[in-house]
Amino acid sequence: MTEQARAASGAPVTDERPAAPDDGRAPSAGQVVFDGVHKWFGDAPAVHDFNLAIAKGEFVTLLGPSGSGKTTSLRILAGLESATAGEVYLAGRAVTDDVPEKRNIGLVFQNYALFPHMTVAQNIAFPLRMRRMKKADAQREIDRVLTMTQLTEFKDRYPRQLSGGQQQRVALARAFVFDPSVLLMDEPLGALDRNLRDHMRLELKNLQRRIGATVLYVTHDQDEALALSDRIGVMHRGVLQQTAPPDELYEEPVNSFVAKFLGQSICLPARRVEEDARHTVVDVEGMAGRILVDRANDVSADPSGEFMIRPERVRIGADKPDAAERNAVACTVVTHVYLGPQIEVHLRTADGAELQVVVPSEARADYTEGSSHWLSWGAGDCRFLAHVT
Amino acid sequence: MALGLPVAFMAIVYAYPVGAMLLKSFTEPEPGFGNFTKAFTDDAIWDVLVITVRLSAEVALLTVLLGFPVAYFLARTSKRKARFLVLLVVIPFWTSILVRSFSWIVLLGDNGLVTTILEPLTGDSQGMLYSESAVIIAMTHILLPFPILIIKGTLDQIDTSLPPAARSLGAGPLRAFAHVYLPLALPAIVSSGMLVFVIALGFYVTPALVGGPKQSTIAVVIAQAVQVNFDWGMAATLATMLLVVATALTMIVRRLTKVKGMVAL
Repeated sequence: MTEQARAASGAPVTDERPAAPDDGRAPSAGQVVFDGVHKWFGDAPAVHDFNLAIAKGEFVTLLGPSGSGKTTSLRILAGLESATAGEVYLAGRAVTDDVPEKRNIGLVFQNYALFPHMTVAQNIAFPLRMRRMKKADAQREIDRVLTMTQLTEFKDRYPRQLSGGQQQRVALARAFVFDPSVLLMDEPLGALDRNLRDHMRLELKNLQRRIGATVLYVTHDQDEALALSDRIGVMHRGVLQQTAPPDELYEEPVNSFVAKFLGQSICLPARRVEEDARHTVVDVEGMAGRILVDRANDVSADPSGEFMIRPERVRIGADKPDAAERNAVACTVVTHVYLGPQIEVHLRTADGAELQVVVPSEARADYTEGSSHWLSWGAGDCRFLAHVT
Repeated sequence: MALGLPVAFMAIVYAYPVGAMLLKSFTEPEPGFGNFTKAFTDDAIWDVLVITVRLSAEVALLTVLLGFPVAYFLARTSKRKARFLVLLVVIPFWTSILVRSFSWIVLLGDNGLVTTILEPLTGDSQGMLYSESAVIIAMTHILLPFPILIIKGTLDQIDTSLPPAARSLGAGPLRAFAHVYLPLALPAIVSSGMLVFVIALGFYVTPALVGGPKQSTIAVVIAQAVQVNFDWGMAATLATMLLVVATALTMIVRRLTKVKGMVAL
């Protein structure tokens, strides 16, 4: 998606801090706003300067390895954890000091946290009962979400009499029956097996579109994040590294952590040697000669950083390509791994850099051990990134 | 075949003695319901029965009321700390009831520690020994580990994400506790109270040592029937009555407190 297309589609622009609430009023920038949120557990920083604005109806995922601070951020929004510094806004209202029950947030836990002594219908009725909704109104709402989640026939069962997928649907129904400002989900599909997970993923996305819910989702599964999200925020060591729509995140990572965490990538230490109007010239460890990177793809503040390219962008051929603007490196095959439709070829440059590319498996006869090949790519396909481990 | 051994074991150590005792209440000194008519028409026996049930109920209630907060605390502290604290609960449990009852005689007696401490408040230097209070205090102390350990076992099973889930759904801390936590703990609270009640019904040593003649429980009277009056028939009759009362009350409470959606405890 280009910058213009994104502006036209109305999706929020990334890497933008929410409007600073200097005048004491809540920022109007989003349904959910994290403004400079910090969290320390004793001496250990769990979340550092977290800023994120989520628009109404938007599906935003926090993606990161375990211990990266994504669940802590979600719990701060839910009020189950207090922020050491910073503010949290919900539907234009500062809720930083509110108790959880006053925040009107729908929370789906990884283990569902269904009440075992209540039936499906009673579980779903719980938030309405707590809000002292009239019996008849509550019943109508309950019937509505039971239908939506296809749970009507199970309404009198107890949670332990349901399958994992059904329990998950109950947790979801209970979390949105009271029309919360935002739905928070902490690895909601984590406890399901692979097939069911894919199915529930689809169901979840459909449901979210139908009810127009604003969702903050937490996962460590990148496929899940890519399939569900309007935007993904990648977290690492308590810091939100980059927030962008899935395609932009994959195509234009801002640093080496994001590049390596999402999908396959070739990353090698590199130094910026010189710049001209169109290109940055970098010296890549293990690659002889100057490598050209489009200026737009040079996003490292430092002269030293990492050279990065997606394996599928690398062309592999027997001869050196003659186009002047194409980067080319000679390699020999170390080994290859057969993966069905593709093979993963492990190569080594003359200067000892190791990298892997993927080629269709019908060509596997060409990649015997020790055979020589030329790898080439355009300056627009590779990036020069800040080094973040 | 696999059942044979346990059945034989239970028959020898349980069914035979209980059966023999039940039988004695109808056969000694002569066959018939004589013992029962004698017991039921004796006001003193009725008094003893009432005292026994009242004492047991009071002790059961107290142990549960005191035990639940302790169990709640133990279930919420870190595993390592909890292990140490549980040991503190269990160690007195291993000490003989006789020793613990005598300790209370020392503590509650005239010029005992408790009396001395309470004297400025009560203006009374006389101990509370040989009273219903003394028996209740001592029995509560002796039986307290049961509810603590039983309730803690159940609280440990309660999913820790349930209270925060209830909070996020709009319940304040008190309502989250009342609607979610307490109902899940209730089966353990009731069954531990029941257990204490039934054990207390048969208590002998503590009421005999710490209590006075007015605190004669049915077990004390049974002992008297055997040791003083050599009336085995009456002893068996009283024991049978104790068994019937305990069984009936247990069944009633179990029926009343069946918690839906929960595995029976």
